[in-house]
Amino acid sequence: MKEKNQKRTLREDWNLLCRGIRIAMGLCPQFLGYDTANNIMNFLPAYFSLYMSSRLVNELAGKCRWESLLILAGITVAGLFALKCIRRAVEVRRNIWLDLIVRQEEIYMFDKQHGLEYEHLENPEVTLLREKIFAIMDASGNGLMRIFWGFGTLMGDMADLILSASLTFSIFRTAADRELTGFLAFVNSPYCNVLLVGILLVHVALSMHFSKEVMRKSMKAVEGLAESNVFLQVMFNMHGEDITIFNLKKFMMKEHERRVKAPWIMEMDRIGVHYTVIDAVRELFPGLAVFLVTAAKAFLGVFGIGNFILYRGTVERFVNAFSGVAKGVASLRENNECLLELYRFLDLPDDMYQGTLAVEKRDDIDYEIEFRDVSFRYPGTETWVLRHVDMKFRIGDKLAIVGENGSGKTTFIKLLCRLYDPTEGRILLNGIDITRYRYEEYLSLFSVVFQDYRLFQFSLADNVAGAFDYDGEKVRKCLVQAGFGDRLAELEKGIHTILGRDYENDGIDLSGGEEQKVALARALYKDAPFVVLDEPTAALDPIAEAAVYENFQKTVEHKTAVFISHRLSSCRFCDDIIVFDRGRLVQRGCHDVLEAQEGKYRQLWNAQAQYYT
Amino acid sequence: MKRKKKEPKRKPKYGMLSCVAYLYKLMWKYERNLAFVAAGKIPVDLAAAALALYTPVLILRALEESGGFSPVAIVSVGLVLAGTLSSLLRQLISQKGEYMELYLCSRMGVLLECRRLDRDFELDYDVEMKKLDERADGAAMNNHTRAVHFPMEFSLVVVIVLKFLLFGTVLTTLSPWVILLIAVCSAVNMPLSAWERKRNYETQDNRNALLKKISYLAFKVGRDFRYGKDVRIYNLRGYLSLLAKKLTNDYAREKKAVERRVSVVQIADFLVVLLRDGIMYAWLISRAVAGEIDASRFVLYFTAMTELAEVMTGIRWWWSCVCEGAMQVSDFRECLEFPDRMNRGEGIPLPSGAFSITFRDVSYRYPEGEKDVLEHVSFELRAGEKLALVGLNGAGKTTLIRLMCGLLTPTEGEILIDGHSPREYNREELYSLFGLVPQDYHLLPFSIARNVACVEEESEIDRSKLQSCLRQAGLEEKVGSLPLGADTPLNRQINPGGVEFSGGETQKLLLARLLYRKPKCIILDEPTAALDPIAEDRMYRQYNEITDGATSVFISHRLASTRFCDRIFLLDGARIAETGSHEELMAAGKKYRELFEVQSKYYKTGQEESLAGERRE
Repeated sequence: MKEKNQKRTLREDWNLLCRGIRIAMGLCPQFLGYDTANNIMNFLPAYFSLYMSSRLVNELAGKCRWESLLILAGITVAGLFALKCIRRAVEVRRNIWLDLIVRQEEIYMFDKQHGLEYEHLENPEVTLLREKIFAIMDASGNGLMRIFWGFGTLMGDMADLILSASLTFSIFRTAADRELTGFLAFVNSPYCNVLLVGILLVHVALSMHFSKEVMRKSMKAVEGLAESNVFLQVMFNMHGEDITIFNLKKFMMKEHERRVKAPWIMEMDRIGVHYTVIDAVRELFPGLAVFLVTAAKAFLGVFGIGNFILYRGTVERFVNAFSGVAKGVASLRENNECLLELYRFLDLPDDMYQGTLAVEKRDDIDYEIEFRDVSFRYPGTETWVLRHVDMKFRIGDKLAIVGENGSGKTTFIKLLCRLYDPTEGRILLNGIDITRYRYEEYLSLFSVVFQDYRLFQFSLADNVAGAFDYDGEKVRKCLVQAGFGDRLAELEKGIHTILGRDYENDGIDLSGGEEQKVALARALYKDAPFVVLDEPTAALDPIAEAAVYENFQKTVEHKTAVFISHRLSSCRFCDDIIVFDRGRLVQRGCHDVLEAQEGKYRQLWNAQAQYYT
Repeated sequence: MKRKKKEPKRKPKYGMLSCVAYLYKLMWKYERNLAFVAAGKIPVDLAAAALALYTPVLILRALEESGGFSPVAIVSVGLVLAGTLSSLLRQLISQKGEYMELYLCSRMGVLLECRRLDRDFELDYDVEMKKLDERADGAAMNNHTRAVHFPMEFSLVVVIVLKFLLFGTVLTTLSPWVILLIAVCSAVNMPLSAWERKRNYETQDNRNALLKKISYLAFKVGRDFRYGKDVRIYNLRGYLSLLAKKLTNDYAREKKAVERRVSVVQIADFLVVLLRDGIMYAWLISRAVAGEIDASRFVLYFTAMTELAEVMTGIRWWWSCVCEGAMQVSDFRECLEFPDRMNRGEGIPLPSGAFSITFRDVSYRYPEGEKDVLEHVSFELRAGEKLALVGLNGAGKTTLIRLMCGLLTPTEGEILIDGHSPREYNREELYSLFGLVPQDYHLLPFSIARNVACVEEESEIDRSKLQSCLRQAGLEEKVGSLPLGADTPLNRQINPGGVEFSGGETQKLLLARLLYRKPKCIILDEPTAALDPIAEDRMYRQYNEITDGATSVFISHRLASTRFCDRIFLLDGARIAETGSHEELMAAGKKYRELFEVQSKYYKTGQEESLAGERRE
């Protein structure tokens, strides 16, 4: 990490930061502005009262006229009131977003990752990259978070720096024609100014040096956290019968214990103490020098003693603001390391989206899908999951796919739905390679219930329709068709019933079978020409299972249906059965033909049918 | 139990003093040093206040009394050194304090998480408990919550009193009336801020509900790549990001209301300060013009006045922090000390062999449920009996087995395990009797071996037993093909070299975990749903071997499985509608027969047709 950082120039860092700022502005447009304004408003009242009280003291120590004193005092209280009200107005607008910022990066990443090719999602390298980004964020608040928190602070510190520097500038004034000796003579000479500037410059240099060091050390300390963080995430908020019965909680409790005084946090603690001391010692010198010089000049009458109060305040602010700016810059530069990981994720190649052809969407159109010598292995692996698959099927066909666990059935579906592209060979829709169609258009042809389908803990209607404006009647119809009708009738809130309790507290828990029915209803609602079901009835009871197959027969009459099922009785609804064995298509035909043949199909059939005769 | 629809306004369960004592006890136990840091803060804060008060006075006086530059220089150097030292100490204390608070807060989080893991299973189904969970989480959310900041905050009362004395003494030399003025100004807004605090606490559940939705989307869905396929096929990307946006805006609106109330309080404060400072300036100016006080005195008095006002607002702030902190501590404690209903102490000895389970007129309804999931169910499962549980989806099969293991307590009636109430046994010991393949399973990101053996140390694993369990579960070949064998970790998401099992393989692994335990009661909830026909057949053939010497319950929609069981229960309409052996139930010709025929129809005709085909040949 250190080497990489040294190679990057300021300009490169600036470009990386700008991209991050653009993203942050897109996510939460108001926040950066209000946060900056808030940081500036935080110190303006302090300057105002410093300035005003110095004027007051000058007047008191000088002419002490009551009208001027009253006017000054009036301006002070009224001005402070106005400034504080403005500050509050800005703060309100900033605070609104305070609790939400944390979730913005996750929501952004979520949106982005579903714009990526599916292949990336299952790729362990991409998973690790994504988890690393989250870990960085959770552990140190770096990445986009750092921009949200750090940008406004840095801007505020910069404004503070400019203001304090401009107010302090007159400490360089000298008194004319005075006969002085010793220290006072030195103070009144230009050499003193040179020395003062020198001390301040050294302060600047040291600030930058130590800030960089602190950032680097803390980043290093946090690095070790990524792994254990992901680990904890898996462990967090789990509950279930097996956790209780098998006493799995003891492992989880142990993992939780580990996070209390993790080595990284102890290291951060140590670094913090170390640099607090260094900072205090470092800031002593410019403080002392300026204090002595301003005291001497006030003594000499170069400026009023009220100004002395002003300078004492502004110089302290200057010194602190400079440390702040140095820290801010160092942390943003160091943070670019984390932003680079994010950009690496955002810039993953998207080859899937090259196609341009539109898919003709007419009900009467004949769709024909052809697999031409398709072989496939998952990226980065050596084993062929599918080998030399050649097949063709037309709209209206009812196709069943059978085979043992791990024979390549699900992969076949993934290729069909273009979640992956074949390693070798081609898949054609109406004679044209599917890669030439527009991706969304091609996907719109399919309604799929995957084996590991996921529902959301939203309402039934939202799950089935997956959109804000849905046709409630159609949702109900699809749920009934999927066999959910009886349960639906029992639900007080009907299709607005929430599933699960993670999203809303008063959701209901569905059984595995019921969930499967909802997933089925979702597929029906989409009403696509191809309906693909990967073990759609695994968790269904016999009645529901039979109903699904018989209803489906009707609802998918004009559609192409593809089933994968371990319940071979379902094959009898299909005109066409293909049998996979170790990645190869070994048999094809209707039930009667295959059952009569010696082969895999018969073996599978008999294993199951023996119990039902 | 009837609950009112409209909830009464929430009140903390424990009183202020008991919360203070509770948190201090907690701190003393886990983060003792925080007490010392909090105590150390007192003199340091006080010294800083004195310095802030006297620095300008001392230096102005030195400048005004023109006795040469040396006194000015000496005072300057002294003040700078003292200032640096005091600010260093303050920073160190706040630095250390912050980390100690961080330790305390993660400790509190861990206590909550562990309690949640350890408490009775059924509490997870209670909506009120969930709300309490959220509030308790709020108390330990980060190291800036009032609850965590409580120890540091609480000791500040000493600083406040001492500062009051310091500034008060300075001001009494001017006029005691000043103190009264400042006190009145500080007290004027107290009711307003109490109102704000109360409204904030009352509306917290609303905001929590929205935050919960947002975190679900961001954390649960956002970080879970398994949604990828469905999101693509159903084109949900746009919908979800719009939803996130909508929720974010809703929350922003709620939060705005909170901030508005804070603004009302603050602006009222600013107005009071405007008046107060105006009066104080006018007073001091009149004195100064009359020549009674010089510039350095003017600064001293004005500083003392503002500081005293700060102290008094500080009292209010302190009080509101302490109140809020106490409320949070109360929620935290309530969640942590929520009592278990099961027996956590000594239990009666466990049955030595297979045991019987008796249900006597058992009804169950989930908390907040609208109707009973089970109604007046009575039966006795004899020791060593093999039971098959069938029924339609949602008939209550899973609830029945949860009751059976003592995970849930019946709403009515009683359950006896080996003739005793589950509460007579120690809870953990009771659970150790059972082995379970659940539908909703959990595997940990450890090695296969540790997941099967469920032990904490690798060395505790009985390797030969592990192998035989994997073999029996039909997973030996697959595990053998992995480079690290049984030591291969699960979950590729966390362990780069890990293995990701398919649905069928996972079910085999769950079976192996059950076998390793050698339980006296075996419960299998749809253990074959994801198995292919050949693996399923294998499981049936082994069923007697697997359940040897144990009472067993097999839930399956594949009615073939009922053949191996001694008795079948058919659940329907929240009751056991039919009971008997396969043959008896078939002969009875009711629901069971209907189910069986629906399922076997297509196999049978197939058989007949193929037989016919063979005959033709």
